[in-house]
Amino acid sequence: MTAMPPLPAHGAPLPRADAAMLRARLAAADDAKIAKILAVVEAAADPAINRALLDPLRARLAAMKPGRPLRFTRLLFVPLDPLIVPAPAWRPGEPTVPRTALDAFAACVRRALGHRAQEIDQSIKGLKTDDARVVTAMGETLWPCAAEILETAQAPPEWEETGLRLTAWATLARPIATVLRRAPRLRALIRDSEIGAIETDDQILHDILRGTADEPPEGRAMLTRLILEQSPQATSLLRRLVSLSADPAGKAALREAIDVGMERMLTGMEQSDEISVEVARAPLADAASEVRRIAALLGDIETDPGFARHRRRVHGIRGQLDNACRARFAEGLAEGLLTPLSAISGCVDGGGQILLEHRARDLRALEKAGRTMGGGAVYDRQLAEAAEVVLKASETGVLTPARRLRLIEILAGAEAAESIYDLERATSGTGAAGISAAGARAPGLPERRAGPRPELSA
Amino acid sequence: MTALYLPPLQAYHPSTFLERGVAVPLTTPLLGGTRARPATKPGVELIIPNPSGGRGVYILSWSGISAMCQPTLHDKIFSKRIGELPSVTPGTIRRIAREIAAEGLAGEEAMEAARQAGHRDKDDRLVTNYLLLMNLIEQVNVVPAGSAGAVPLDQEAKARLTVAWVAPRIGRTPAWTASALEDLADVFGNIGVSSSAPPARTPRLHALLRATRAEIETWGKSLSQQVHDPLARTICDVADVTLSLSANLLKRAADMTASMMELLRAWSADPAAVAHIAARPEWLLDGWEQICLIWNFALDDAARRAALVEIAGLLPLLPREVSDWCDTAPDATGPGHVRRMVRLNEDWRTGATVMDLIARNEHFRAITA
Repeated sequence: MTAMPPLPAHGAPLPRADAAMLRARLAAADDAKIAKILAVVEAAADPAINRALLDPLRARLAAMKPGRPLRFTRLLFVPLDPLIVPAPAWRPGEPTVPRTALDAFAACVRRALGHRAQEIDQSIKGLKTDDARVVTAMGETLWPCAAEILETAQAPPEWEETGLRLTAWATLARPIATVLRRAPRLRALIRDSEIGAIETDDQILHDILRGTADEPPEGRAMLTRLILEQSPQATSLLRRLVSLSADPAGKAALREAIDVGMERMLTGMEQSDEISVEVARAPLADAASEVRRIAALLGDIETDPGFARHRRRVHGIRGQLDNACRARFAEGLAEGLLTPLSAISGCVDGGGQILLEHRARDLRALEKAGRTMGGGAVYDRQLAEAAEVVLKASETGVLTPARRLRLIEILAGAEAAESIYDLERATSGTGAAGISAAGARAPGLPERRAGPRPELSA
Repeated sequence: MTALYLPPLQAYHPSTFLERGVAVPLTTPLLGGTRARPATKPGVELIIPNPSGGRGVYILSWSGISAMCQPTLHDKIFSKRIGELPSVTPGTIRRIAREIAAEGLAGEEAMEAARQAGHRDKDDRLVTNYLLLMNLIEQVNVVPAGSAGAVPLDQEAKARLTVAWVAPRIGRTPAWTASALEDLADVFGNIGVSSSAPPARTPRLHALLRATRAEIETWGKSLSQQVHDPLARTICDVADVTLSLSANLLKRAADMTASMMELLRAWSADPAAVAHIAARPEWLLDGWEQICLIWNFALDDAARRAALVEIAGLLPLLPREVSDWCDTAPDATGPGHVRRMVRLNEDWRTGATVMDLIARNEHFRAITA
């Protein structure tokens, strides 16, 4: 790959030819390169460069979920993140927010907050967007204040730079305020569903739905779409709560918002390669949770009588998800485990082993999530093959016996590992410890054990 | 899960600490909070908190565990080693846990930590032995410091002189006395001897529990979490009782070293009784380390809500025997049923994927080695 063109001076547009070349190369770059380039672009902190280079990569970045420097604008729009779209894709009335408008909204809020904005800047300095605790704590301070500001604010001078009409300000400001007003509770709902420890809290949904009848329809649409996409386990409860509402106008409005949101989401999944991209581009560590999130949503739609008309469509989408999952698993297995194990010539050290175990665990998590949609036999076969590669790696000294046991356990199950452990113990008279001291053993030393190789089954 | 093979759920309140069992640091998520105790038949039986989050426990032999879940290799080997134990104590369980971790069965981090811990324990024993000896020298004061006309003695000579002076007064030989001080170093290693030394394992755990309890209380009272306050309060209440009792027991154990002559006499007469008193704080606090780790591992509100649910199922019950130990009759029972959602392939207690929880539990093994 030839050298990338140098970045222009701050604020200067990127020459068209350079920009085109950069975009072409970025499109072909792998995730690691993208992450490096992202760090350079972040350091430049120039919105023009940021947009020119990163806009074509937004879908990949969304899937990669890299931790990015936490800045005021990012913190402000964390609750609306799934709704942010490139400006050309935005249409008035859609429950989305054009990316070019973010800085103008942030500038408006900053100005109204005065010195409190600087205090927030100081509090989040040096932190990353993936620091959930900080985002929640600072967001709880910022979001409700920002909602009150945007509810009545006029378009700031920065609006001219958005490339949007002045009327778009009014179309967007109040719906954004609708979401930000409820953002702390929305975040609680999302984090609960991510961790999944306790049932969806009725009270949180009640709090979110309170007063929605007085909000603009676009705001309600944004709210319901965020809930449907990010907290799929709350979908049925959301419908139940809406149906119990004593306010006929509010009930009808919310029902409509849910139906519209659901329709848009299903259409999006059907018409594009959205699912494939989301699953294929997600880091291995996040792929399983992505699959579980989509599968939970599909499951809720299938079992909710109110969504009965969507069942056929869900079946098709589930098939897409199944395929995407299998493809991601096969790719992850090859790239994350099989290739490294075949390529290493010496003995894997502690750090290398930790990395291999992480990947193996991520693969098992993905396989478990994917198996719920089918492909059980395929996953079993691939896992058994992977276990064979691990055994071979041990025979050639790449893995110590203890490290081999660990990988076999993750890939093939504790019973397979126990069989090997017992066999080792009977043969050598030691546990894994006696052999694991071979962390520094030279390659090629492990002996092939006598007796039958234990059965490997996932 | 094949419910058919499970024994009936029982109401459970142990009479003694031995009946409560010793917390076993297993890595299988569903086996969190498992305790081991001697069975009525030879061997060990396991007490497992009700996995649904409700009240009660299952009391099973290891073979019965396979009806509930698929244990990790670490846990399978752990169970075999526990079965070979002549006695189940927090110390023996910790030794086995460390041996298994040193084999690498709980991962690289735990293996390294277990190997380091072996060296650290040897050092701690030496330090405790030294501190006991210094206490003895200071208390009997055979060679008063700065006595007029005396030639200053080095510590080794002072120690020899002191032991030779003490031995006949407790009816033992100097060799027995020196050996007794070494044995007492084993007994007091977890309690610590001097307040100037770095705190020993059990006082450290006491301090950790106090800090964790304070955090839970503060968090439970925060505006956004008031809905979870009842659960947090229950946990704090149980922790309060435990902390109060533990402070009492730690003081009693530490007080024994206030008179080294009396301690040596007691050790000479009945070493088991001395060891029993010194071990009480560890028995009392057994199981709380895991709780503190679960809380400290949860970094944001949602994770902490999940941690509370998990902790609620793990709260150690106080056996009635504690009233014999502390002249008090505390009534600290665990919380009731906690609603939780159960999704496919997810752990019943926390909702996280099983793989993630095994990794987390192995990380705990490294921290507690």
